[in-house]
Amino acid sequence: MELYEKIYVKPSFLKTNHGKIGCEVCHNGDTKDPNRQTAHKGIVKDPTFPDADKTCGECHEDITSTAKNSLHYTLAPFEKVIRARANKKDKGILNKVCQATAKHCSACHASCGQCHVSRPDYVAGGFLAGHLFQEKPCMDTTCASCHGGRVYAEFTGANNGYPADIHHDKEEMTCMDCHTGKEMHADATGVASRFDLPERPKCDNCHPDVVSKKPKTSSHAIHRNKVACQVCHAVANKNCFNCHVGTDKKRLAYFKCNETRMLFKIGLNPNKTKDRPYNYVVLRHPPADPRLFDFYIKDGLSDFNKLPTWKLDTPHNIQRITPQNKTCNNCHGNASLFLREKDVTDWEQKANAGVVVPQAKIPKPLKEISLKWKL
Amino acid sequence: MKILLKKKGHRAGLIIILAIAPFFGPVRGYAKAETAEAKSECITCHTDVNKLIRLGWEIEKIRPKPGKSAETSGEG
Repeated sequence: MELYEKIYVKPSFLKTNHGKIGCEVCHNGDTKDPNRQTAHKGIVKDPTFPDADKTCGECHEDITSTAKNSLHYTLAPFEKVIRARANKKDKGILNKVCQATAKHCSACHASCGQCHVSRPDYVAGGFLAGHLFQEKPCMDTTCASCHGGRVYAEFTGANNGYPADIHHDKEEMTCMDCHTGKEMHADATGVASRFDLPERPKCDNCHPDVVSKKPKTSSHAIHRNKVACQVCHAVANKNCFNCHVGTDKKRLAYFKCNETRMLFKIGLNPNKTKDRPYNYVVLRHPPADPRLFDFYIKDGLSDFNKLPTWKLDTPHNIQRITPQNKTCNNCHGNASLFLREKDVTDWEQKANAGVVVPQAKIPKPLKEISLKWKL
Repeated sequence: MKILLKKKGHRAGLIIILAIAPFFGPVRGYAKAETAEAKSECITCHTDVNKLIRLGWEIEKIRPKPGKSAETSGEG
């Protein structure tokens, strides 16, 4: 995006309610000064972060009061995970880890403005539509700016050889059809991960029959509450290994992720809840590595094994028919679908003990009954 | 007599103008203030594509785009 495109204000914006508010009310600066440099003195590029109450909150207090504690705004679970794995015995080391986290991880937060007015800072900003406020931003420019590497590619079928999510492909649904404003703006205080947010999307919101006590499809009755929906209906997704971050000679932040693989792995549910009672869930390896911050400090993540590196996942490439659900025995007895000890590197064994599927827990093969006759 | 009447009418007109002039004063002043308020240098500049393009070139000469680190590798 060229610089002028990023900062061009459409004249039509001036006729909107937001456009009628003087620029300086939100951004400071001197509106009467024709000198570019002095006029921009004290300018606030994104007045919606870190305190949206003073700008958006003046009129939208009902939204900002919760949105300022939302997952996108605070990225709180990110920090919790890194802190759990960090070396907490040495305060000097912990400080370095916190600095590196702030530079490389926490910088990806999204403020009100970075969703509804501009593209996120992570992709160097720029107005979405000449400063016109977008109630429902375009997923291709907004969501994909930060979630383009994995989720967006899965959802839209950008991973060669892997189909797009049926919701996108057949129904032309966008991210916001499931991830509504209610979820995006929800208060996530104390929430350990996005999967624990009460406002998160649930398959049964649109498919209530599937989880009912008497579903139309027998396979749904058999597997009800035992396996997560994605275990049968998702396909291979992107897994990352070996991530390192640092700063180059020009002081630009970089990351090195040397291994990415398309995998489909079923594991044991690491955290059963009332909403998520399943024995089996889909797992994904995120770009987690104990040497992640070695550029800044050695031994920064000395408690790395406190959390599994194969994490609960909900791939966004849902299909009605998948390689594993075509027949019962495409899954039952098919050990390669399950995360086993041999799939986990030596240093990760301890961390993933709770999610690795032991031989005894791999479902036994059944008499061959093709599910296609049941569907 | 005609001349006298003409002179008297002229004077009356002048008196009327002088009498109502103070009421126009503040109104005209307010109108001026409103124009100044509406004229924002931010808007003048940020809605002018040609100006922004030229400005962009100037800025990039002094401060090139930061871009991404050449050391970044793999998928993020």
